[in-house]
Amino acid sequence: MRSAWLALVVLMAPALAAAQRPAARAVARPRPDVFLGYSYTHAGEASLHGWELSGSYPVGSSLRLVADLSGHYGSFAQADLTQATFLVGARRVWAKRRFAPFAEALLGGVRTKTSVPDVSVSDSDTDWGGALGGGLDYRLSGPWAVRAQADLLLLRAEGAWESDPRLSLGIVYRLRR
Amino acid sequence: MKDLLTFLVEEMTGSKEFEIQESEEEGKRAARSDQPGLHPHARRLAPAGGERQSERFLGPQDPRSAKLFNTSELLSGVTPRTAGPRGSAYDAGNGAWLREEELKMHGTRSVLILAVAALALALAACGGNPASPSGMTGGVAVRGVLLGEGAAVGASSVRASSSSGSQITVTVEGNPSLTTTISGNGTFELEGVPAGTFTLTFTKDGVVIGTVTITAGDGVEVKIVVKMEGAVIVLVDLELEDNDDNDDANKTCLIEGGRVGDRIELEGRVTSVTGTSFQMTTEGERAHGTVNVSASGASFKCNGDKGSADCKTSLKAGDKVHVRGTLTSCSLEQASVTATEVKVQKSDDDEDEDDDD
Repeated sequence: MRSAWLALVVLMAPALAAAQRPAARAVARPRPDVFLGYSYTHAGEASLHGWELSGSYPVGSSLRLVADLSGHYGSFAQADLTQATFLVGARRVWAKRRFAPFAEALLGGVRTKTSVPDVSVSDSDTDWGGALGGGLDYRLSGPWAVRAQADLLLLRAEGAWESDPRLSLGIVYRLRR
Repeated sequence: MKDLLTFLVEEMTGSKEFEIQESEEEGKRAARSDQPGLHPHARRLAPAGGERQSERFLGPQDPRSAKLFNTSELLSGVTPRTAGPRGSAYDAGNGAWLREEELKMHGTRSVLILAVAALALALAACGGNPASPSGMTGGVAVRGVLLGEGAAVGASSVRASSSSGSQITVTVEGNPSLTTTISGNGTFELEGVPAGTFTLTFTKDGVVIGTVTITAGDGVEVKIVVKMEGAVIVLVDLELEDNDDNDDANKTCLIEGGRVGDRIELEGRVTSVTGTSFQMTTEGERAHGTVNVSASGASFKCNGDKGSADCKTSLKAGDKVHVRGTLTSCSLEQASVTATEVKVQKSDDDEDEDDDD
């Protein structure tokens, strides 16, 4: 996982560097958007499925403020697991025709809940968390777009940072300003 | 992946029309500035059917122009014989001069391809986890959950793990290569543990804080729940699940997966009847052998006639039965079930007799 994480950063570095160059021409007028979709994460050893809801607000031609909520659910061993994330951060978008790749960095909290129905035990915890990753929007007609997104969810637990992959696929609705 | 990249590149660069939205003010400003020699930000691509895109070429004295020429030459290995438009570069691959816009688009294309590649890498990373070699088969798989110190039976509580400040590892005693760190959400997994009796050792800061000894056969999945209690780990729940369909050596019951005390359903044919009990043979995939059924407290249903008093008394060898009940004993030769419900399908002989009547 560490090597994949490193490779991701290395690959994204040229893209981030290129973003510093001035734009060659007028770009699409940025609009706030809302994303809702299916989401999967491999949290620890458990595969969890759920949803992701995020909204972004442009603060420049290509930079956006992002608020991100997600909920993932599943079971492992004899326990039912729930993981909820609430993150905020920034997103850099490279809009090009119908495609809009983006990279983002988010910080916030991760709440995990573990319950074992057989013995009626429940346990919950809230830790610092974050997300680093990116995705791709493909614009459909009107305000709609589809988005594929991949993040490394970061969780600060037991004095160490852990990273778990999160994949999301869903629809984007672009609001009018 | 190659097809995807090709599609993406074609979609982004093989353009027939450009779909760029601008505010009205930006549009007007761009229209006013649609002439050579203006700032790049002021220029725009024309929408389909609209005005042509302006072409402002850099002068030969412009360092960017020289750089573009040099880069092109280096990459292609071909030096253009004649000078092209100002600010353009020669694309030896296509044998054409590229305008400034096209050159910048090439740069953007690289950025996008890198972004897509990063996505693909992240997707691929999901499959890799050295701590849990999912492809590993054989042995025992241990999957467990550690609950925090505050967790209590019958209550919901807040975990105190984040304050403890160090991670806990689980190791199979006597086999240090089989070790894993408990993840942030408390889950852990060990695969390929040798079958038999083994001890899981929980360690924190090099100090053993708990051990659990388990006996499991090959192909068994051990589901374990432990929790922190003070400075030690205690066992909360343990369940063994046999996932190996072909493991006949470990079978102790003629009914696959059958465990004494479990609810069970069986189908078979009656071989003999003694009072309120009968013996049946099962020949299905899940069970193959003789089963003694105690049916004193069972309800009987014959060919759709629920509760027929005659059904119970008319049960005889050869009838096909569907039995629901509890498995009370089981070996590889025989099993016993206390039935709660018996559905009887009378044998063909009986139906023939009925027809004769």
